[in-house]
Amino acid sequence: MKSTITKLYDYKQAVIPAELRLWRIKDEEIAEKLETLSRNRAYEMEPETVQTGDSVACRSESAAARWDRETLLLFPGRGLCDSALENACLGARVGECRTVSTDEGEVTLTVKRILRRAAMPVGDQLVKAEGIDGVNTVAEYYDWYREQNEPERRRSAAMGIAGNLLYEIRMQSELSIDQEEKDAFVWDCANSYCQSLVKAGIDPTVPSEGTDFLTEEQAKQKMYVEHEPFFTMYVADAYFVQKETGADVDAICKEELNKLAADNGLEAESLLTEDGWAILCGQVLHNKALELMANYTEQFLED
Amino acid sequence: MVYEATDKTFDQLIQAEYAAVDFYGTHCGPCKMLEPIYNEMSNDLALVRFVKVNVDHCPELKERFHIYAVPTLKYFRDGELFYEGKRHGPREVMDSEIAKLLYD
Repeated sequence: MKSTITKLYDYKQAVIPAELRLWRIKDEEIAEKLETLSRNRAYEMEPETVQTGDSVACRSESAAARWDRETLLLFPGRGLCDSALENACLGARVGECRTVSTDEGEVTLTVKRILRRAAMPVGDQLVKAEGIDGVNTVAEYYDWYREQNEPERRRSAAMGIAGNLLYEIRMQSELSIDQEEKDAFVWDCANSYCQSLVKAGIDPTVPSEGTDFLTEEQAKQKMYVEHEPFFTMYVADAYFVQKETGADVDAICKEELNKLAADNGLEAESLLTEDGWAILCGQVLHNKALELMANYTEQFLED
Repeated sequence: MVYEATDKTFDQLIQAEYAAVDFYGTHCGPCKMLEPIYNEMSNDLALVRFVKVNVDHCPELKERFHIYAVPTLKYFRDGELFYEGKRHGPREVMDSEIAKLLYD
């Protein structure tokens, strides 16, 4: 690459915001997860009388066709229909009739069935029911949940800090830009984006402001300007990756593209010759830069 | 409780007086956001059958019900399609949708 960073921003002196250092899972999150499990393992019972929160099946008779049904489901307290109807069956037993006045006339309800769902209490029995190997108590569930999720949270937090530092590098470093190289990169991004819009049925010549349509040339020029920052990112990422690995970035890029092509049943060469190669290379290098920077930023994470 | 349907079990599962069906995709973010709300509704509204269909695994149902986007919600009465869900989202939105199935 001809474009490069001539003076690298001293990212090691950057202040890391405290909130980015956090990654440990709080007890509240696990308690909430257990509450969800308890609701998912709710059991059903048929109580003697209707209470708020129950599900009630009624035979309803009315001159209004809407309320004249063999089965009308009511959920007292849920506010899904006329509250007069929902509340009319409170305290009723199966077989009991209640008549209620609504805006659409009188409705007579006969309770056919009452169903109540009760959440399984949060406790060792609930945890055992989940059938996780070696996890039989709530305390063990807390440990297990952390073991399962914290490594990913930790890496994700390190990546978050890495993203911040890479941003600072490209904003605060001094760069030397080769215009020809930049044009080739940015025009490829702009053209492939333009093609994507057309394929998605979006006309790039329709202005985002005003009423005058853009010419095709103006639309492409607009996209060039919008994609310019990606070149700075590409140059900064390439510089960082080369500095950290000592390897040739083109070789790294090709290796990553080979993997990507193999995963998608394609040839890497075909990826590089089609429009959009710049976006692909930029993304590949950015991922690599993030990964390398995250190895460094792990030291800033909370203990 | 939410029943996971397949191409083979779907017709039997929706044979209820009132049933809601969530057509979802494995890697769909909005589907994942809807899942806890849908689960909660299934617990709160016993007597309504809540069913979900993973369209990635059920090509026949995807074609039969013309599922072009996920999540898509459809509501059935006595095994027949009664109402095409228009919206999905927070609990209030979902409640207003299911109220159409129950009371319209």
